[in-house]
Amino acid sequence: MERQEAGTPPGGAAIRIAIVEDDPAMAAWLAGVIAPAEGLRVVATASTAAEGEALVAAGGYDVLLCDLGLPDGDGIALIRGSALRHPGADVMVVTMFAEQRRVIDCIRAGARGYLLKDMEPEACVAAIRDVRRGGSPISPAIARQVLRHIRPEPQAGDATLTDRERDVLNMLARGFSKKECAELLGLSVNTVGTHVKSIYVKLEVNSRAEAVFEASSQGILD
Amino acid sequence: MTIAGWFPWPLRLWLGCLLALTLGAAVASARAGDGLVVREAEFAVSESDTPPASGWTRRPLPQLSLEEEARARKHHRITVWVRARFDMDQLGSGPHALYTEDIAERYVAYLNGVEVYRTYAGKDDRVIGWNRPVLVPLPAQALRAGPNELLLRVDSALDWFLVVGDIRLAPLAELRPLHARQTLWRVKGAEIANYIVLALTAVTFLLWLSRRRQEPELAWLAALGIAYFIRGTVFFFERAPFDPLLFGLLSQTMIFFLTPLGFGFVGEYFKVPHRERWNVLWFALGAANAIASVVLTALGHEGRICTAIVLATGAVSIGVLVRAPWRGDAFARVLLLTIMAATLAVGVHDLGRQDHLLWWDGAGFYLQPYNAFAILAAFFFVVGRRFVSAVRTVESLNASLEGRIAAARADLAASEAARRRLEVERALESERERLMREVHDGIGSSLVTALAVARKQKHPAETIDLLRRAVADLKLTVDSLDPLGGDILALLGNLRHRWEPDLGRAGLVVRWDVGDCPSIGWLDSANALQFLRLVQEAVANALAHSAAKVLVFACAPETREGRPGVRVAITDNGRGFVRDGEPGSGKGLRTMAARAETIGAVFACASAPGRGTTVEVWLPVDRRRA
Repeated sequence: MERQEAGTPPGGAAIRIAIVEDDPAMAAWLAGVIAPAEGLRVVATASTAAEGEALVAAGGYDVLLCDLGLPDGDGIALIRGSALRHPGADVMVVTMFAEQRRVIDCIRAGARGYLLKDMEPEACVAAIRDVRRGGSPISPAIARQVLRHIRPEPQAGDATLTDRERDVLNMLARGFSKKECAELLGLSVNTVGTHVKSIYVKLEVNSRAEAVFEASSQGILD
Repeated sequence: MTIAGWFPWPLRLWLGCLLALTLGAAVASARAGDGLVVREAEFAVSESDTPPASGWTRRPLPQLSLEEEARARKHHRITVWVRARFDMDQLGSGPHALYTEDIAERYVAYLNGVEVYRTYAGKDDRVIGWNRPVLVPLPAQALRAGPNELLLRVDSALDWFLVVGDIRLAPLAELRPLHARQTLWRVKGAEIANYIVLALTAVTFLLWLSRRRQEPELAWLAALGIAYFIRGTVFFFERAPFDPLLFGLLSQTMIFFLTPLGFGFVGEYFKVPHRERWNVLWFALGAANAIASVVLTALGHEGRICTAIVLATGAVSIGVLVRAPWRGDAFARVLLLTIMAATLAVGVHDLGRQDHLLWWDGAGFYLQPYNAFAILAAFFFVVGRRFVSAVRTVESLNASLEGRIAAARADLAASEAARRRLEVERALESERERLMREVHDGIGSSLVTALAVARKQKHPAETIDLLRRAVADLKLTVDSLDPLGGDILALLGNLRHRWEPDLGRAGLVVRWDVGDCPSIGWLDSANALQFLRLVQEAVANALAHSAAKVLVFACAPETREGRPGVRVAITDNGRGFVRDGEPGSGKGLRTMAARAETIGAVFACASAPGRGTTVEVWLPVDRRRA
């Protein structure tokens, strides 16, 4: 793990970014994309799950960019650890395809968004800034999958979606872009993004409630 | 229950039998022209073996009861001489015969002083003659031209029971059918009916004893059958099997217990409430009545009151049964109560033709011997009907069971099919996972790294573009591996999502014009890939060649030739083209058309120079044609 000294950038607090990525080329590319971006700063990097754990334990980042396929473990455990220890930090999954199943698992573990490995650098930077501003990315397939994960009859401890969140999800699942959603629902694009992030948070909460429920029904907890 | 339902075949058959019986009785009782009937005779009571010289009185016939005389004499057995005169001219042409019935109990017949017949063998032969018709051919030599004298010496067999019934004289040929009819109805018919009753009773009793102890009505019915049989023997037995007095008494006593036993049976069969109490009452009444009857007879009275009580008890017991709450088989109830009412009517009929009342001759014989036959036959009809109904129930149960087995089998087959489907899905899933890993770790990883390197090292735009397209292709393949349950909007939306950066870069405005669409169940990975590639090609063409500003994605349900489906259209407002004129585009169109055909979809492309291009593909919800 490498840790760099955090400095204060001109014009306000910089977004401190930690990277967990085992592919050196990818890690270099990410660092290369972030370095020139104003207000974005890489504060720590790790290339294995073990290093990633130490990175998460040390904290001090605003955004954790995490690859899933690490040579010595699963990125999802890191995401969960980060979400628990640093709820104020945003975790973004670095993924090749953003396949809905993997992404949903990450969201349930506490991720708030994802970066595609083939993204244009500008898009990549925009996505990181967006997630810090409170907006999360989403694809129709992921929206559809989230809808399926929300139980129609919530159990104890479940966070329920608001009607507006449900409307947003329904439209996104039908292929409308965030912008179109915003126009059709009379919202701003940022608000749509905020709704998506809030939905992700609820999904994580429900995932934890489910784990508790599972544990209590198996007699692990009282 | 419908009216026809009240008359199922057993009841109809039974009614038919009853009608036949009535008709038969009517025929049997038709006596017009059955010879010279002796309407008046001289009577003299004398125990001597020769006719008395004096003491003759003229009395009307037929059916003369001499019980009063017998009682007056306080004599156990008396003998009466009956003398009738007739003229040969009244008889018609010979050979001639004497016909008698209802003479109690035995007699010797003399014609002009010559004995022509006797109904008994010797002095101590106690034949039972009261019900038996007798036909005596008269020897021609004993007959005289002109006046003749017929003399009968009639003995009573039981105490005070002395009756002189019907006496006729006529040509033998004329009397023979009468004799045959009466013998049939009075003796043979009664005998057959009673032995059938005995057999049915035995069957009932054995059934109760061996199999159906929990059905006391069977025991009641057996007891009723026995009582009727014992009562019925006097109608056809030629001689008493034991002491005639006791035998007669036993037979007589049975009458008082027919009602209690009948009620016991029907009451038990229909589980009439408080039947035990009623049974006690009827038996108490019956026993009291029987004792009263014996005592009254012994004291020299006729005991008609006892007969009246028997009939009244029968009527009341039927009333009780009619008023009892109705439960179970209405047909059985109607039938059995009808039979009971009929036996009561038979009792009235038989009472009315008794020698000391003579209200009517009725059917010409006593009907009582047929009662038990009717009751048992009705009961066996009911049982048979119940059996048939039980068999039907079993059959319907079997049918329903078979239905349930078939349903269970179908369920099992369905769940087996579902299990297999699940297995296939699991296998596909695991294969998908494996492929994804391969794509991630292998070619995908290399491609993305290559792209990153190319970008970093500022490779030519073509190289970067090529690599990007390769990654986009791979993404399409990956997306097709999860066809989202045939949710065409999500699939199309995902494709748009993937293309969003490129479309944005090209300055194309996307219009998303979609409605709710049904799922396309057959859109599995392979089919989804074809569909996505087709759309990808259309979008790529629009990007590459159209110079369009707006790209419209339309997706809505559309029924074609009665088949529900979904129409997907990608329309640009670009420069359009003339089909087959544009080099290169022809091949693209052919590929798209081929892809559509492969998956059973319908492809169309409309374009004109300056008018933009529309590529549309129609996917049926169900690929099987009706």
